[in-house]
Amino acid sequence: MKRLLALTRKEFLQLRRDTISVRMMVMVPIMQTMIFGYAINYDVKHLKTVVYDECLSFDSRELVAKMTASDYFEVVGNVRSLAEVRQTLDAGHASVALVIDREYGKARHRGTPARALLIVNASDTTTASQAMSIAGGISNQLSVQTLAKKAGWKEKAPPIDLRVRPWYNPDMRTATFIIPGLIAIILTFTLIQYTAMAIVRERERGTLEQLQVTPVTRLEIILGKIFPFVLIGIFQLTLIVLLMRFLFHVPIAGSVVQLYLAGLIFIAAVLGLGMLLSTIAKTQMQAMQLSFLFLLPFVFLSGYVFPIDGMPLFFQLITYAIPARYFIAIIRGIVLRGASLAQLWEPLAALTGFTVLIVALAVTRFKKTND
Amino acid sequence: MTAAAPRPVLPPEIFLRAEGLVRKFGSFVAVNGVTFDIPRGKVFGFLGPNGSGKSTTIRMLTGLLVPTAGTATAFGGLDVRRDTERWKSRLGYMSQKFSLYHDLSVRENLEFFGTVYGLGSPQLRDRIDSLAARLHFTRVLPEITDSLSTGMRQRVALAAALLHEPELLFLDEPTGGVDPRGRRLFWDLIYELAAERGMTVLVTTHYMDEAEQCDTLAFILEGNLIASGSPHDLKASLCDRLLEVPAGADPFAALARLRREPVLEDAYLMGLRLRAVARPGRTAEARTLLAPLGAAREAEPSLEDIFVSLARGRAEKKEKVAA
Repeated sequence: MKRLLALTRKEFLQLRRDTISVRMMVMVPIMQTMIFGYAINYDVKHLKTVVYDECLSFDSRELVAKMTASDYFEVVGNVRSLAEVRQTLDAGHASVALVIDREYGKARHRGTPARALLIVNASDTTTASQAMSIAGGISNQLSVQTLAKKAGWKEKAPPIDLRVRPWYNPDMRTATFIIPGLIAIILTFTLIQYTAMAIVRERERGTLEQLQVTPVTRLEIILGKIFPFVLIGIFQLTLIVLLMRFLFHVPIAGSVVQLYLAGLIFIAAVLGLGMLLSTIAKTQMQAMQLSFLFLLPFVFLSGYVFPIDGMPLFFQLITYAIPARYFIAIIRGIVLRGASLAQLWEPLAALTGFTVLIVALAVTRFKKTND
Repeated sequence: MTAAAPRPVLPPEIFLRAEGLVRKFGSFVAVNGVTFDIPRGKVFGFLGPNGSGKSTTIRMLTGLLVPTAGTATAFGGLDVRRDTERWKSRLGYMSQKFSLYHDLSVRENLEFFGTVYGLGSPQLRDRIDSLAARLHFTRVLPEITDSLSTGMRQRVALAAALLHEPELLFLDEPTGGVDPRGRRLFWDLIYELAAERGMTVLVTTHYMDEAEQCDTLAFILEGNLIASGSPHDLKASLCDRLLEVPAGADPFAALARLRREPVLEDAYLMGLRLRAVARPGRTAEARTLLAPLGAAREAEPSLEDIFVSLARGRAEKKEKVAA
């Protein structure tokens, strides 16, 4: 125990000297939370829209007004020909074009279909599909109103009254969805790299060998390396939770204790990965590069930014091998839905299983490579 | 591995006994059955070219590597494989690599290693201060280790290995990169400690002048121990066979010719003189052979001569076996 304490103390002494790393450990979580929290927004509003109104009537202006009132479209110019529409979109000055047919107004009054055309820059599929569904909704609403008037519908509600309630994130804020998952990403980002580098550095320097000729046991060496990083992990976890709660006002619906419990299991998994990596990497440079190898799938295949359900089957299968997937499912469950660990037993069991497997593998490999 | 297993007891004058140590890495045999005794309180020199199995042997003797076969006994009956933990707590180790934490201060390094060996704080502080005074590095105790010169670091590393007052000290090429004066100081201290405390020392080195100072030497080549004994005894094996003549006008032609002579084991230039090693029992023939170059006289062999001769002898034996 005294030896373990000495090892831990030594690790912190070294860390204290490495002021850049210390700053990184604090700054990286803050910066990432800020960037992901403020910059990422799936809900794209004020799309630049150009209008080619061939009709120039009260009715055509009504359609344009309805579109802009939705907040999703912002008219940036009016043009007089289809060629100009094309030119504006090609140049990237607008991403949506609304073309209203010459007969639009007359058709509305005659009671025949009134034609309009919405052209969307679909290179960015997310933005495009959002614009299309919003525009579709507006035209449907107008159509229903017209038909209801014709059919003499007296009710306030439409014939089919489907109400939609967005639970767990009623304001539909992207930050609310993104930030809990960020906990997994930041822990992965810092801990894998720092653990791997700390071990490789000792091997490179020969201090690991020096330690091994002392009466310190292998287990003490491993624990002494890992323990400080567990504390750093908990510190980072706390930092992000505080930012999430008080800067981004994401309420924690579930138990904070359970959040930390799941967090500790995930930290163990990530430290295990770092140790595993240290048995492969020969130099600190390699350790750093290899840690990125883990980072990419953790960010992109964990369901953190891209929904797993939208992936092709092959990649969906891969996601099962990524511990961050389970941890993100657990945190979102606890933070957003107020679920308990008992309700989240499936991802919890998978995460725990992975952690045990990784740590066991790391310890065996660590023993072997340092023999 | 029963508790009742009789412990092999060493004679009191022997501190460490290695018996048939073998270490294989896959199919490569790094150490091939090495057996030797290290006398108590003496400095035992371990010589051999890089990759000869020297470091592997030391690593086995420190408990860093588990031997594939064979064993080592020391500390009055401890077995390196069975009592690894206790074995490690009683030895000191300083390796060719500078193995202190470069980002900690000298004092922090020493405090860390002392605590790891179970030393308590008042005792530890006393020992650090006395070793620092003894090795002349008190001044740099608060400095970051990275900023020290190689010679200074080496002294600190030695202090780290001595903090827990080990009975057995392993020095793996301890003076690499240290200037001659630093090496001198270092060796004086090692001898003093050996004499004062009866500490037994095992050292590897590339410097023949350092080897010369050891009480006992062992030569290791390709994983085999090929000779051992005191520097004096080892030199005796060559002393009437080493002949020296003036190099003459064209030393290289003479050298090339001599090297083809079956009577000679070896020939080489030493400054303005030519040295030739006669095969055992053929010194007289060699003298006749060298006569045209001048009067041959017997030269005092250096350890380097011994080393080269031993290595060559072994290589020739191998060739014969192959033929």
